[in-house]
Amino acid sequence: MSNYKAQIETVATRILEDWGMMMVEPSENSKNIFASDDQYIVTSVTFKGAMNGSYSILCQQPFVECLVDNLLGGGDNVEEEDKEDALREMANVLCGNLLTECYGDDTVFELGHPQLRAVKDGEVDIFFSDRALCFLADDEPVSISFSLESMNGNH
Amino acid sequence: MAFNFLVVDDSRIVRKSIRKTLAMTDIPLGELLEAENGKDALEVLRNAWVDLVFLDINMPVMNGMEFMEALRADAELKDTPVIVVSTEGSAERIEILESMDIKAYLRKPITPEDLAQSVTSIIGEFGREQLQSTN
Repeated sequence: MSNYKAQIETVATRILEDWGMMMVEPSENSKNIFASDDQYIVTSVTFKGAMNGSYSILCQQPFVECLVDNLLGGGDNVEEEDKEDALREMANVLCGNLLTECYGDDTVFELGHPQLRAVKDGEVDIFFSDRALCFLADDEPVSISFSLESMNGNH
Repeated sequence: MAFNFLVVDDSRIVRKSIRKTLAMTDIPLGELLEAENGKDALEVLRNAWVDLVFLDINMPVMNGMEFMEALRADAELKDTPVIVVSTEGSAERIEILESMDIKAYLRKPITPEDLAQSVTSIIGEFGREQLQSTN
């Protein structure tokens, strides 16, 4: 994982700034950056190809609302479906771009459809391990976990 | 002359943002149609005149590659102009799409400026072709 942290940061920063129109800053890898009374949301996308693996994003509601507001330019009647969809699309774009950044344009990957779920406090520890990267986007905490499968287990 | 567009993407937010971007350009807009997958998109095209299609690749039911094959095989629809808008980035896939005569390939995330510029240059091409056909 540590081999990919730089690429994860580069890609996430570029995309959240250019596409999400958010200001991205690095942050400590700690649950403390998240609001303890807000539910966690995880969006995951799996991929297959030269390598198999998954890309997951942990965030909370205020981040989602900020993202959707930026994507739709504010003022629109934003529905719940839009928020979920924004997270799925973000996961899709981040994962796709990261794979290109890591493996180049000549490598083909098949991305699964991003899945969204609410998670409990105890399930999020992986997002604060050395296999994850935390940052702030418009002051809202986000954590990304990226894992690859190999014959001997995860990377 | 107003132009009709079809946005084919399983992401509602992408469809909304492309519609929004098109509305901000100077292009005279006719109908802005949407479809969630390739199968629905073919149905739309069989029932409505569309000047330009925006197409995602990674979609359920019928993906973008399957849609392009079906589109180019259809006698009525085969000349429909298509811009691909996708996260897909492999050179191999882009080459296949280009061999299917797409007008442009835009890699997500796309900015409104990229989209507007691409559409404007293609619409401009339509205008020139029309002018040539009437002369």
